[in-house]
Amino acid sequence: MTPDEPEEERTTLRRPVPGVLAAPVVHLLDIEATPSEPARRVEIGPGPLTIGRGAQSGLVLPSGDVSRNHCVIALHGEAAIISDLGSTNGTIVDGKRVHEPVRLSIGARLTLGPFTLVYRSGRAADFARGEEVEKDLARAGRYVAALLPPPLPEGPVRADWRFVPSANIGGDGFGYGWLDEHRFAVWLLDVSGHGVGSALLAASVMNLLRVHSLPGTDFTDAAAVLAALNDRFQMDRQGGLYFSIWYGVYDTRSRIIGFGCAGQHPAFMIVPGEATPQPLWVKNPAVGLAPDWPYRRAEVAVPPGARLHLFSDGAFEIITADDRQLTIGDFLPLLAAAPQPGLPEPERLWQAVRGASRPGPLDDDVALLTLDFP
Amino acid sequence: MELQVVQDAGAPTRLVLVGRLDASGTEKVEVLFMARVRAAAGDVLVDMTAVGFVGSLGIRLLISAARLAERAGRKVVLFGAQPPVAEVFRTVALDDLIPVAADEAAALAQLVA
Repeated sequence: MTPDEPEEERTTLRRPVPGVLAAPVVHLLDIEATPSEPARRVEIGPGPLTIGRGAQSGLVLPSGDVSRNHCVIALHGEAAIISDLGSTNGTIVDGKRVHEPVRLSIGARLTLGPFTLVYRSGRAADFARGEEVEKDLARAGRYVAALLPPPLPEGPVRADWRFVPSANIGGDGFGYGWLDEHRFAVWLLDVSGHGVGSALLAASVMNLLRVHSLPGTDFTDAAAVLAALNDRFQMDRQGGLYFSIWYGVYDTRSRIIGFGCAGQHPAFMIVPGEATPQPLWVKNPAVGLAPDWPYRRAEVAVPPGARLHLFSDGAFEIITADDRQLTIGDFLPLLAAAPQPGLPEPERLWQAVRGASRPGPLDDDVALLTLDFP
Repeated sequence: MELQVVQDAGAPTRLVLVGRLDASGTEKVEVLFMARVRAAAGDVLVDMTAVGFVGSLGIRLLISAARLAERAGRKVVLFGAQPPVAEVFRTVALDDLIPVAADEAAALAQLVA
């Protein structure tokens, strides 16, 4: 702009665009869930937000490891500044104890006793849109969860499970049921990627398997089921999504389980008197990756008292508090550990997984399914 | 996640992946990775030695790249997977679908074959 331009035009150019430049910036703290407290979100207002376990605090965190007046967050312009108030256990920001006032960066993780708080800042409209997306994901997760079968506490095959969808929905699913008077089918699948797309494909496959709706397919033959799924769900026709699956059929007359797995890690059987879990695995690619693949199957005898564990990779591909990436080899000792009286096996395993992983939400769905064969 | 491109005269294009090939890591490199495979004059070696984790979307990226090259009459060969990554490759039967070698020498041998 030159000095010769009329004043009126300069005035017009400087006027903020309603709803864009003038959009209010909000500052939030996402308090992650703990065993005793659900997740919640609080807004940091124009006045300082005091945090502590004392009832007079602006944000009360009920724990003996949090001081009565632990820390305070105050806004200075668009900056959020956190100051420790002489707390006993310290105010930890991104793993470092704070000794002087510190400006919080977006996404900063605050550790106050057992609580983890994540700082977020941005335009209110963006948060509103983000919340809508989160609601959609939660709805997708509830739909998948609604397709899961109830536990089976009695009968020749007993089943129990624990399913914990991640915030982004990982596309896990599983199911089981009687094919006829003698044969019982069980399966667990994991769709690639995360989000509503993965949940949609998981739900599609779960519905097909629940009602045995693959025309011309013998559902008692694991290899035939995998081949039929592979024929129907090629990645190129499914938005680039594919899935891994373990599928097995137990026959009560022969006490044999015939199984196949496609791109999926083994299921593990624990037999009374044997210390090491037995992997049930056949090498096949995941469903959707290779057209016309000749899927293979295998069989194994199921002794009385045997227990079969199926689980998704979210149960073991976790990162620990000290930033280690765990693998299935780290998970197997948990399977072999002694059950805890009164605690369902899937719940015991879930507690072990949760305890081993770093604080905060998990990156992937966790599906844990246990079958007992009396 | 980083992607380094090494192009020595007369040698196959070498794509070096560094970091975690999880969902976010894959998202960061997939456009450039596929573009480099598409633009390569000949075969491509993918160096996995500095990759600590491969998730389902990473597997899809590697398969898509290999198939893209295959359609153009070229090869993509992976090599140097660390034991946890090699275990994932085995679980998903990746070596039944695309060329996977233990190390660079074996990868080069696959290109000659």
